[in-house]
Amino acid sequence: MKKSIGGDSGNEIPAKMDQDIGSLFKRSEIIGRGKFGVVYKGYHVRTKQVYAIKVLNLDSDEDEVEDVQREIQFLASMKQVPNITHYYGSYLKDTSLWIIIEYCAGGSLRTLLRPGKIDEKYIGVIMRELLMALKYIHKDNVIHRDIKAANVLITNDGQVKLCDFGVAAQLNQTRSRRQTMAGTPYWMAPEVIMEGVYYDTKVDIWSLGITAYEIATGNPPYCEVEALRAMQLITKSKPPRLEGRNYSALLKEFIALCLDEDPKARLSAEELLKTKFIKTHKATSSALLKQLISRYLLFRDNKKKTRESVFLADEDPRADHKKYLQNDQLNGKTSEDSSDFEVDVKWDFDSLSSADYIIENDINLEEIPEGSAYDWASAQDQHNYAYPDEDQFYCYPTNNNNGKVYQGTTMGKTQPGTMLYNSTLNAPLSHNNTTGNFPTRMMKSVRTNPTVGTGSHTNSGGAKRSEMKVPKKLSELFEKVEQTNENIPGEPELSRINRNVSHLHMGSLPEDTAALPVSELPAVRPHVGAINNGNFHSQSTPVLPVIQTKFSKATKGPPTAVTTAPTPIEIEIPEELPTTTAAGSSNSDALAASHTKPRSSTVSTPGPTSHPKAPGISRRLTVGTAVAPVSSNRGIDEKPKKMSNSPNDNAESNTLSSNVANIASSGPSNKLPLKSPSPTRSYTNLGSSPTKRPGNSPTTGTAQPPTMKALGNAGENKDPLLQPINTNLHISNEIHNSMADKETSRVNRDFKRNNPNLKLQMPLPTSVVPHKLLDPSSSAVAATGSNNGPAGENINQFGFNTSSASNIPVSMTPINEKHIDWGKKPKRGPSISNRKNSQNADISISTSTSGPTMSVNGAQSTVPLNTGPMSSSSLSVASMFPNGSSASVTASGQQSSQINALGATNSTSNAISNTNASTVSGNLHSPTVLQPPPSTINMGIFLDVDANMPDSNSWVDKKPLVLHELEALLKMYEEGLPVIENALKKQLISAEVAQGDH
Amino acid sequence: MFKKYKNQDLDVNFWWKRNPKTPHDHVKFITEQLGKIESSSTHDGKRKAQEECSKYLMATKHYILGDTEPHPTPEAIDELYMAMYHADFFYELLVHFSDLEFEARKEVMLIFAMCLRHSKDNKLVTVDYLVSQPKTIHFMLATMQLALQNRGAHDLFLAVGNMIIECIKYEQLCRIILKDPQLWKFFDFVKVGNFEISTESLQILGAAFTTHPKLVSSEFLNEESNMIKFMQHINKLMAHGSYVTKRQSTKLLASLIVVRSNNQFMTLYINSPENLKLIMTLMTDKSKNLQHEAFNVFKVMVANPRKSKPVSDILIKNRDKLLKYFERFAVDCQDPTFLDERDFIVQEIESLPRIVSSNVETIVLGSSNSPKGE
Repeated sequence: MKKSIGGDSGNEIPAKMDQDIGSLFKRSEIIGRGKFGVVYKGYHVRTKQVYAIKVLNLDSDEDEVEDVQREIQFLASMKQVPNITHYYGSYLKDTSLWIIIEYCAGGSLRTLLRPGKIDEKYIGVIMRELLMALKYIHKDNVIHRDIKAANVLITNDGQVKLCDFGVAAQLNQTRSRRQTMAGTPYWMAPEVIMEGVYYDTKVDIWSLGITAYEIATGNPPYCEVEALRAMQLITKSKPPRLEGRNYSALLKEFIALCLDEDPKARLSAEELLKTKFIKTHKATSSALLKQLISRYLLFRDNKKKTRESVFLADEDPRADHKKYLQNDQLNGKTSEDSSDFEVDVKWDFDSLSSADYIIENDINLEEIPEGSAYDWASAQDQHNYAYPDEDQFYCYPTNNNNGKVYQGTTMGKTQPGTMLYNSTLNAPLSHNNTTGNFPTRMMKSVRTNPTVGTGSHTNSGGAKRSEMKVPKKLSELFEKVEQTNENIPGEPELSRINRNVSHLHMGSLPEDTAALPVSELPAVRPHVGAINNGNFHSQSTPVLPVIQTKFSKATKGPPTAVTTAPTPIEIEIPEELPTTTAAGSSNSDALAASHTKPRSSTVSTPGPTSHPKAPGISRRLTVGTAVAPVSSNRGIDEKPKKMSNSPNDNAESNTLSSNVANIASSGPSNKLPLKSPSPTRSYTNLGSSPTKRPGNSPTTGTAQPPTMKALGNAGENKDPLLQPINTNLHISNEIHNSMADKETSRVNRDFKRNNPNLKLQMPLPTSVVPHKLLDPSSSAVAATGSNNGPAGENINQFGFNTSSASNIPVSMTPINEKHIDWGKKPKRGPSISNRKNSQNADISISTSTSGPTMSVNGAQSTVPLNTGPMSSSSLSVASMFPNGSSASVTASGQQSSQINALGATNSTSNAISNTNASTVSGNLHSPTVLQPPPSTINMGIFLDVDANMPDSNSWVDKKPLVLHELEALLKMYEEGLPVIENALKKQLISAEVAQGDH
Repeated sequence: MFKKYKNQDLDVNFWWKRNPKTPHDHVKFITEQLGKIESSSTHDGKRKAQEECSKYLMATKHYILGDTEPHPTPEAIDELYMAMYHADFFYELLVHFSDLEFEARKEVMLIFAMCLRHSKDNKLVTVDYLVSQPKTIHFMLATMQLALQNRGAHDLFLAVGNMIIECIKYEQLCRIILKDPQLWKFFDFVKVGNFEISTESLQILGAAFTTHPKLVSSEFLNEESNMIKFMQHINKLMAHGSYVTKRQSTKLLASLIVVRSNNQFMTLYINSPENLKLIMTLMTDKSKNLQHEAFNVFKVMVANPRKSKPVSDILIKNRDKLLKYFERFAVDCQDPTFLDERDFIVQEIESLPRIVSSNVETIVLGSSNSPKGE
């Protein structure tokens, strides 16, 4: 539509007092969005004239009205300047300000660049127009400070309009140069970024150069670097140059002239118009730019078509966009509705009536709710920071993260906190240094990373009244007023923000801690899209369950009596509890620990691995000295009571109870029907060798070593040679497997054969819950049965351990006896020790009732064997012979004393001992001659028939006769022994004498 | 149109042979053209005179900036200024201001600002001249009202507003403006619907009262009549008026109250229960910024150790509500001084005696946050 500049009176909008702006102008769709508000396409209700309406929300918390009215002043003051958006007026709609400016249909140059690079002739025309605009505003010493393609608008008939004077600065005589940092970082001139350097209109030339670069390449330099970094690069590194053979030297030279790091050497707007680059394009009219608009429209249309085609893939950018929009609405709404919790507080201003009376109070401070945890988004990929919100030509932002990152916008001046965006920055005129100090201190404090801390700080004990320091400004206000007139110096230096202030400050939403159901973050595995890029298989780490510890105070349940000193129950949580799922049972697929098979395959023989007793379920029981009866809810204390009643238990109970605890600890789980098979069982069938599959079909088992496949993917030409190996390997695998099976079976048979009398002990199944219908006695019997066999063997190995009280059946003695007998024959020395042992065995036969005390001192009695005076019978001769014999003689003597305890046949033993004594005393006068043996054995005792009655076949009992004969013979024998003894003794004496006298 | 405009620039150079050589020529030619604008009856005549005038003004600007070949010597620039003073240059320009072109007005503002800054031997020559001739300033203030009366002249209003703001920077000129009764008219200009005018007026008011606080407290607010008139005007602005007006005026008030030198005004303001009522109502305004501004005033009221009875009564009666209110007030604000002040205020309020009434109804804070769609 054609707009005439003629009568500025013609297009004045009459300002009626408080006529609602909504009725004057109707807003339609959004055509642009700044940080400070939204630009709508609108039309005047009466004239149906189309305008661009910039709605500024004055109430947002970091903007000042002054900036807004300064921008309006600039816009107002440059109505005459060509190539600048024309300003029509501004209206306030209670908190939002509507600025009416000329509408450019083509939109911003930035959007027109979206379909792709543009030819140099367009660039020449755009540069010519922009330079014209800059020439005028620089004449007025106005620095736009924010020249970039986004701020260059194209109208329908291709005219170039410079817009957005939000950070424009006015140069006047006193301040011919600015030094506040304003503008978008990527387009900023180095002198703007360098603090302490004053800059003038040349910064627009630099920005123009950058804009030219941007138009030529599509992005400003350093676009892949974020703003702060870019600002440093702009100052430190050499000025960017357009490179590339596909650009003409003139354009490269033009940009080179614009981007001169020395502002003085940098050409001004007039001089740039004289460069060859502009001259070559002088003749082309600005109508050429309409092609750009048509190109873009064309581009937008067929993008729409492609959008329909890949419908399912692309709806999320729209979602992005819509989410973006309603997110903004969310954001907007958040900004809006954060404010519209209606404080429907009716202050009642009525005077105090007499009915009210006043009481004094003391302060009781309740706990302050602490801050919530922040979730750091995982990764961010590289995209240009200059235009973060603009979807680039050829790729979409893949993962959306809540909380927008503003990089490429203009930097502005704020009060409570500084946010470093590439938005327009402008400096405050003058403040008192208190607030100045205030924000910098505020900034330093803001720069501290908000520490996330879940810490429970308890300040227990009586509340002390902390003396609250009165803010001194308030206090000064009320001190005695003395009139002082202080001279505030002219311009305070606002210490610039020093380098690398990085503060990612998400619009903090005041929140209160609500019990957020710690929902198990759905470990959302990005389901792999249709196109798996081949080299990506990532393992997901198992989700750590959030342990919810609920401190239930006295509120739940009836208040019980104040407990005495609580007995500290020390609970040690075992590491390897079988993991059970808590809320909302989802069958946890057994952690399929896939064994990667090493290259040469070996088959592991399946050994009956007995269930290892769960180690480490160790409950440290701190036995408290004084256990006060604790009456609280029964949930926790139930366990220690059961354990206390057995003062001590030995290793056997150890295993039993652990099984019970194992069952108990998974007690609550038992209430649920055991749906999944108990995990303990699943542990044992680890690594079951794949059962022999019938036939040798190629399988894609998990056992495939991954290296083989990757080999395929490395981009080398496929060598068919390597394929047969795998099948072969697989075939040989099969062969080895089957062989292994046969091998294992044989191993088992070997096992049984090798040591035939060792029973293969079957482990008791631990995890089976004891069912009521099963009678406990049968298993117990079986258990004790199988238990006792090896146990018996155990005791024997230890010998008699002093502490055991069980009695051993008498039938045991012969084995000991037999054992000693065989050992003694070949070697003579150790007979002494065994003798003592057998003695103990003999002694053990006698007692069955007396306490262990007897056995203990029983051992002592044998030790002073050699010194015992009580046996009068033995000749104590210090002889060269082994003292075994003397020990045995006294042993028999001692045996006699022990037989005293028998008490059965007292008379006979005494007879024996005194016969012993008598033999000893008696052998001195025994007859020295030995009776000759009976020369004739009378046959009577052998013939069972009576001699003098030969033919009668009657059988006569000769027993008494034989016994009588035997009696006589024994007596003769007994008398004969001492005789020979004396003879030998004489021989001994004579032999000794013979030896002695040499 | 643009092309045509450029060419004019070029041929302006070549067919006016008489260029202003001496500094006197600049002033003489401009006053001549101003006269011709007024005297010429035809539209073209007037337009030619306006073009001539803006051309000479631009030349004067370049001359003063000193980027003509050859550089003007400092003496030449002094002669120019003396010529301006003798010819009452600015007064003439102000009188014909509405007749000047848009660009010409910008040149005049620029020349005016530079003249004000011109200092010789550390003496502001132009400021002294304007103090000696206050009719220029009075005329500036007066043309503001004139600009509003005939519609469509708010370019004029804005341009003169800028020049007034330039003047307020200098204390002697600010004194003249403060004693000028036209100043109170600005409180009415604020209520004008047009945003630019209302913001401009607010800006002028704010600049007038805050630029030189000692001047304001010693020569303006020490008279009770000014205090009461100011209170009434600013309360009206705070109570009624658009969002921007409320905010700027509360801010103005807050900044004035904290100045130690006008504590008469402060004690007067904080002891009146109406003000407390107004501030407390402002604190319930839906925009947080406004609440914040209101709080800056409220904190002084509460911090007052010698509260008047009705004020303490209101506070006592609303003790619980105030406590509940401050519980949620600006909780996210980080800066420590604000936190200290708020804590202190809460403490003060808590230290108020409590009333227990027999039939008071309780307000239950519902914690459900449900978004209310637009």
